[in-house]
Amino acid sequence: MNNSEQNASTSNTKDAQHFDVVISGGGLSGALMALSLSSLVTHQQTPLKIAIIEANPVLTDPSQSFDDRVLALSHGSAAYLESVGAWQYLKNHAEPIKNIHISDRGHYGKARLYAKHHQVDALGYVAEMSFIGSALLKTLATKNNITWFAPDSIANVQWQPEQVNVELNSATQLTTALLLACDGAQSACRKFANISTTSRDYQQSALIANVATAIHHKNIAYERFTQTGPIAMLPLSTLPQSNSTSVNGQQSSAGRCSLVWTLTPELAEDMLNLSDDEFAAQLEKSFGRWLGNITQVGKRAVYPLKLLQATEQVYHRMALIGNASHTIHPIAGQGFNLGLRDVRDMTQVIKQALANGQDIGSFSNLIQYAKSRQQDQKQVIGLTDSLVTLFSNQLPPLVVGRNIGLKVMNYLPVLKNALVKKTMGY
Amino acid sequence: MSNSLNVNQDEIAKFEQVASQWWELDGDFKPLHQINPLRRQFICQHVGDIFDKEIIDVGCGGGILAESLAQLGAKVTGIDMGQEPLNVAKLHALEAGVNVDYLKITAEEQAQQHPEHYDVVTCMEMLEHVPDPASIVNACAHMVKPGGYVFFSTLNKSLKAYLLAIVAAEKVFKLVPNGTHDHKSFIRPSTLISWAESFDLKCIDAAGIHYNPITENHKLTSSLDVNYILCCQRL
Repeated sequence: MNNSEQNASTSNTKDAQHFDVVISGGGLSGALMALSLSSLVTHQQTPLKIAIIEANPVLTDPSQSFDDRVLALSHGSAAYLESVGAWQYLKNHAEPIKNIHISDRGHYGKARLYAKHHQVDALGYVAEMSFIGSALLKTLATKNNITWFAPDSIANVQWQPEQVNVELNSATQLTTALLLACDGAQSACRKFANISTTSRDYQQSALIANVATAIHHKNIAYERFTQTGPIAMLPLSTLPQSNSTSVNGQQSSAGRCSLVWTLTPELAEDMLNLSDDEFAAQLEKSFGRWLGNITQVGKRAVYPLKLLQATEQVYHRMALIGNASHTIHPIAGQGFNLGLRDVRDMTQVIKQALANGQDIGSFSNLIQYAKSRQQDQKQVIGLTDSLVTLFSNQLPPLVVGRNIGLKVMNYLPVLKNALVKKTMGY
Repeated sequence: MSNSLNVNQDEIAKFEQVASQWWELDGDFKPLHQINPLRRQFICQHVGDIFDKEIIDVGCGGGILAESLAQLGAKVTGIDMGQEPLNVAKLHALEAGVNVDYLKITAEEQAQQHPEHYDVVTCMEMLEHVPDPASIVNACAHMVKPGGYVFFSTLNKSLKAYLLAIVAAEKVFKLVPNGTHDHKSFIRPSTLISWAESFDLKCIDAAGIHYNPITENHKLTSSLDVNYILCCQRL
């Protein structure tokens, strides 16, 4: 493809290493992107040559801690991870969501969703980000067409008609037919291409913490509307043993949950400053007694609810994937599931181009990707928006993040099936 | 000199007045912002890669299309006869850090100075605003390289176009300022194609741009009833 290595360009690419695809970012979406492309073959039946550039050293086996950040994986996301061979390493660490229990404090309404009614074992899963990452890396380690440049980062990108020249801070020079930006909300590639972003601030914050409860969650995800804002409690795996201090003194913990509490920024700040005991009491008061006492409160963090979107999905020989293209804070749930579908669609577009013997970086291929993503992103982001506007007065917006966007069903039963489908990732 | 220019001063004045609105995404030009991705998509479908391509946007106005093409790495020139829209376009490109060369010149003069110069010529929603649209088509055909592409979009001279573009868009929904369009200036696709073909352009594709003012949904369709876009290739 790039026989004319030297044209009138300023940079010297004679010593550059050429890759079919260069992936910027080796986090969850970058690793998944590489994994997803690793089994594709070119028209000549050779595997793709793939490079990953990652700023951090590639991490080894994660150690588990009470406060690990978690992601909700839709049923469809889990199925995709299975199809790329990563699920086998993750399944023992992924807590299934078998039922979803939706309630409204002070109102009559209540809704329940059962996995078995939808002919599945689980509506979704909750897993530590570190385990998802390690499952992807373990699977990647079995592939021999992936080259890591880590720790390293992109110093400069130079676009040419037939290729992209990527210069790393280590002075390594790479050339590629296609640069995939999986480098997150602060995407360096996006900045090099001068692609601007629009952001929407929902004027809400999400307080996130892992908590232990006296009653085991029994794989039920709880979504509860309260006057202070919706509370989501997602089932987490129980740690072998926990040596952190318990609140409420006496009681032993039976289960662990991931809490996402959507609050006004002021209230979120107040909650952050409470002692563990005070916070547990507030949470029990708002959430109710579904899981008994809150026996342990992990490290609390507050994120503003914000939507960041790139104005372009694709550029010349470059595409934005995952958070580089759209970030829904707090980073979790639908955000990752949406990013995973970016990876899936990009893979499909590249596979098609390879089958037809086309240039995988050609713009006509990339706009196929942009088109196929547009609808999905519109729907998920639109769902966030409409939830925010629908419920903004009485019921503050829902974290589309980890509360998996399910609550609407309580109010609009007609949408129930459609929403279950979307939540499950289909 | 101004008497011989293919310019309708009233039309220019109309756009001078609302120039500040060009980049207000919810302002007078909201429909243009909404259909712009479709126009660009249609262009890229035919041209393929526009990176590094020489493109001229004739009647660029505030630069919505020109800037979006430059954003993808094309070398873009935008020409218009309205000074205010050009000022707005320049300022916006500066803010966005995008390089576009904006010039106040007629299409005819530009064609004389730069014959067979551009890989792509675009002329969107402009023909209905000039006294002699055929002369613009001729100029566009002159500017493009042999084998290059010229895109035209305009409004069809149909009852439906009158109802939607004038009655609905201007009077009922007030999507665009009153008096934006004059039905007499609308052009049938057959007329536009015959002009194009008389100037060595071959029309290779046509699509309708459908805009629903209530849902604000917009898509490319096969119906050329109202707003349509043509892709021509220079022989």
